[in-house]
Amino acid sequence: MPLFGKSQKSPAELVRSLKDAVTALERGDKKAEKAQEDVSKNLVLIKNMLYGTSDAEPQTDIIVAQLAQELYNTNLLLLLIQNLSRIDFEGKKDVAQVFNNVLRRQIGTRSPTVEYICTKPEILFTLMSGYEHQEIASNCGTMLRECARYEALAKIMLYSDDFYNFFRYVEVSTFDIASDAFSTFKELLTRHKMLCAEFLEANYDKVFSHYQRLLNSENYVTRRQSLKLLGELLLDRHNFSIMTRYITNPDNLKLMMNMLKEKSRNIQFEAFHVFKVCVIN
Amino acid sequence: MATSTSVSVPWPNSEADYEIGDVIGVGATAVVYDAVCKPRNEKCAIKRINLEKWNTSMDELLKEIQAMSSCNHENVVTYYTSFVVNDELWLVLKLLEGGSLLDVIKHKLKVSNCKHGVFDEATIATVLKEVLKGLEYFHSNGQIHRDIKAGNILLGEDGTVQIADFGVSAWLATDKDLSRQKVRHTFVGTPCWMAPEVMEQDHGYDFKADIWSFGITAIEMATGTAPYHKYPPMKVLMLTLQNEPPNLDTGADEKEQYKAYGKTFRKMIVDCLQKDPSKRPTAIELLKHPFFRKAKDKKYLTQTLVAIGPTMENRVHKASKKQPGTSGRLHRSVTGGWVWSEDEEEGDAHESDEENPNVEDKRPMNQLQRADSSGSDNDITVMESAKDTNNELETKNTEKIATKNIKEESKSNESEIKKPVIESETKDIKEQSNNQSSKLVSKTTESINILKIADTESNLEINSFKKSETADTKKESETKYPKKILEPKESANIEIKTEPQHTANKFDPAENKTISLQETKAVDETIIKSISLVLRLRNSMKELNDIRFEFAIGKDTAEGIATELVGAGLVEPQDAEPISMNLGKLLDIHCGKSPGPKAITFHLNSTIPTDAFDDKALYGFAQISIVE
Repeated sequence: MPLFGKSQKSPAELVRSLKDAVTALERGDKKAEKAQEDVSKNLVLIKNMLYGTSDAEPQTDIIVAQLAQELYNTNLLLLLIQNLSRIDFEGKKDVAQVFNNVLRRQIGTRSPTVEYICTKPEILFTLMSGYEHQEIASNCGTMLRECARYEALAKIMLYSDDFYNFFRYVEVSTFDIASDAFSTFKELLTRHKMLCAEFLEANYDKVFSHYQRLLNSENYVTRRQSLKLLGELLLDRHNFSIMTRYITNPDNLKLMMNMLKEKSRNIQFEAFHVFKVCVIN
Repeated sequence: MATSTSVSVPWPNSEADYEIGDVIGVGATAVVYDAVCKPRNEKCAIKRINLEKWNTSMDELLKEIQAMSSCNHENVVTYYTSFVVNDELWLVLKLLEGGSLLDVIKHKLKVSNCKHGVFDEATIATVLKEVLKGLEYFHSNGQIHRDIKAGNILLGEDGTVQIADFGVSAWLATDKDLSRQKVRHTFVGTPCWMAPEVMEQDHGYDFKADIWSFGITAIEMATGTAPYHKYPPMKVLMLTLQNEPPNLDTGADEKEQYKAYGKTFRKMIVDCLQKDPSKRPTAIELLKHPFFRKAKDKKYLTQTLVAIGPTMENRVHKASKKQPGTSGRLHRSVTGGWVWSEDEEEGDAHESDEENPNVEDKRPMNQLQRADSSGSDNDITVMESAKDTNNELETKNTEKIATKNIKEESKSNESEIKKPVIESETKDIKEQSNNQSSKLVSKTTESINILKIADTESNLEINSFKKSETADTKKESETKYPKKILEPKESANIEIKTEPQHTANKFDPAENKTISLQETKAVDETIIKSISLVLRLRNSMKELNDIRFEFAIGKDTAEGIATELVGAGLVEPQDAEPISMNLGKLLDIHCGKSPGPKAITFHLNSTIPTDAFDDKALYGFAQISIVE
C-alpha cells in the first residue's frame, strides 16, 4: 500500500475529501476518473488509520473517535454504500472494512455507530438491496452480517418489509451471492434467540409461507440449506411454540416425508432431523 | 466479485451456456474441465464440485469461493462466476492452458535428463517473482493460502503465472476483520510443503507459513521434488520438525548434484526456510531479494516453460492418475490425532501403481502391509475396516505386500474365518494373527477396493515424539472416496498402556481400548479386572458398527467411557447420555446388582436418516452387550 507520509491529514480533512470525491463520482462527469482515484486513495488512508499497516500502528483512540464523529456528521457511510458499485474493486473491500471497524467501535458498553445507524436505518436497507447487484453483493453481505450481530440492528432488518427479499436473494443463480445472502438470512433468524422467536411467532404465517418455497426450490443448495436451517430453528428451545405450530400442520409432515424419499442423502438426512421433531412431539 | 470485463455479456449462470470439454484436473471432491462459454465465445475452466460428497458445511465452500472472488490480481486465479447444476456446484474460472507447474516439472523430468536441476535460475526467478506478487496481494488481503506448491501454480499460454486452489486458504482475520485475530490454529496443507509451526500447532501461525511453502516450492522447481517427497507424511512431519531446514541438496543422491545453482538462490531459500517464522522475510521484503533481479518477463516463460510443457491431452491423461501421498491434507482430528486425507477422487489402485511404482513403494501410508503380530491374538471386528495388531517389536520389519494380493487372499479366506457373530448385513473384516503370519480377511457386501495400512513405524515415532500419553485415537477421514482405506490398528502393546489407534473409515471407526494390558496372553487376567463390551450402532451412513472397548471395574466410569467415545468421534455427543446410562445399567446387571440380560438395546438421541425406527435392525437404536 503506497501513499504513506500523506497521512498527516486530520480525520475531518480526510472525511471531507473522501466525501467530495464520492460526490464527484456520483455525478459521473468527466472528472470521474480522477474522483475514482481520490476515493480509493482516501479510503486506504482511512483504513490505515483504523487498522494500521505493517509499519504503522493504528491511530490513537482520539483520532479514531474524531474520524467516527466526522463520518456520522457527514453521513458519509450512507453515501459510500449508495455509491458502492461505482467504487473500484479494492475500494469496495476498503469500504466494508472501514464500515465494520467503525461499527465495532465501543465507548464503554455503548456502541456509538450502532446508535447512529438506528437513527439512519436507510443504511441497512441500502445494504440489503446490495444483494440485487452482483458486483457489490458480497461486500454488502460482509457489512450486513456485522450489523446483524447487534440486536437493535437485527431487529430493524427482521421487522422490515425488505427482509422478505431475502427469500429471493438466497435463490439467485450465482452461487456465492445466494450463499452469502443465505448466511446473512440465517444470522438474522438465529443470532438473537429471543428476538428471533418473537419475530417468528408474530409473523409465523408470512415467514413460513415464504419458507415453504425455499423448501420446494429447484435449486439443490437452497433446498439443502433451508431444510437444515429449518431443523435448527425447530430444534431450538426458544422456538418451542413455533415448533408446535409447525408440526401440527399435516402438510408440513407430508412435505418432510416426501423429502425423506429424495435421492440426495444429505437432503434425506436433514429432512430426517425435521421429521424426528414431528414424530417425537 | 468477478472482474468487470470490457465484454458486455456477463458470465452466464446456466449449464446450457457452457460446452464442457476434457477433464484437466481431479481433486478430492471436484473435477476440473476445460470448457467454452458459448455466449462469450471464450474458453474457461469449470470446476465441478459434487455437493453430495461435500459433507462439511456449505459455509466452508462459500469461504473458498469468497476468498477467490475477493481477489483481483493478475497472479491470483481469476474467478468468473459459480452456480448450481443439480447436486453439483460449477465454478467458472479462467482457463490457464499451460497447466500447473507440477505438470511441467513432471513432463520435463520424463523427457529430459534433469539430474542437475529442472529449470535454470532465470526461469525459477521469473516464476517465483510472479508467485510472490500474488502472495503479497493475498497477504495484504488478510488471507493465507496455506497450500503453496508447484501443483497449485498455474501457467497461462502467454506465460501468465497464477496461484490457484483456494481449497484450504483461510482468512487469517475472520470475516475480513484484520484486527480481531492474528493467528490461526488449524492444521492444513501438504506435509512436504508445510511449515514447522503449522505442524507443531502450539502457537498458531500466520502469513509466514506461506513463505516456508514458497521456499520448498523453490527447491521443487530446481530439483523436481519437495525435499522429503520420498517419505510418508508422518515421517515428513518428523523430519521437518527435527532436522535442520532442508536445502537444495537435501534430497540429492550425490554431492554437488545441484552445484549449478548459485549462492543468491541458495541464500533466498535459506531465508524462506527458517524455523523461526518471525525471521522469514515477508512477501514484500522477499521481492527485493537480489535473486529476483534475475527474473525475466512473461515471454521468457513461454519459451522455457509453456513450450516444453506437456500437451493438454497429456495432462488429461495424467490428471486422472494422481499420485497418492503427494497431495492431500494432513490435519488433526477432534482428539488431537493426526489425520491424513488423500486428495484423490478415484480409488483406482492400479493407476497409481503404474504411475510411479517407486514412490508408491516408499509410501507405506498407501499400501497394505502385512503385519506379523505373534504376541497378540486379539480378534477385532469392525465393519469395512481392518486393523492389525502390531507388536512394537515387530513393526520394524513388517513386510509389505501388494494390495491386490491381499484382496485375493481375503476372498479366499473369507469363508474360513467367517464368524456367525455378525449379522448378515454387516460388513466386517477380521484379522487373525497367527504366530508366523497374519491373514487379513475381508468380507464385504459392498466392494472394498483398497486396503491401506499405515507405516506403523513412522507412526510410532511420531507418537513418541509428540509424547502422547493418552490414547490418541486417529481417524482417517476417507469418506469422500469410493474406496475404503484400511489402516492398521495397534493395540495390545506390552509396554505401552494405551496405544494409539487408527481407524481408517470415518464412518466405521472401531475402538479397541485395551486398558491395563500387561500381556496379551494374559487374557484371563484382563477379564477379571475388566469387562469386554461391544457397542453396536449405525453411523450416519447407516452402516452398522461394532465398537469394542473394555471397562475396568473400579477404574472406569460409564460416563467416562461415553465421553471418551464422543471425544474419539465414534458417537454423537447427544448419544453420550443414553450410552452412559445403559452402560451403567448393563454393568449393574453384570455385577449381580440386578437381574437382566447381557445386552441392552436402547434408543439414541441422534439418529440417522431412515424410513423407520427399528430396534432389531438398530435404526435409531444402539445395542450394548457384554462379550464373554
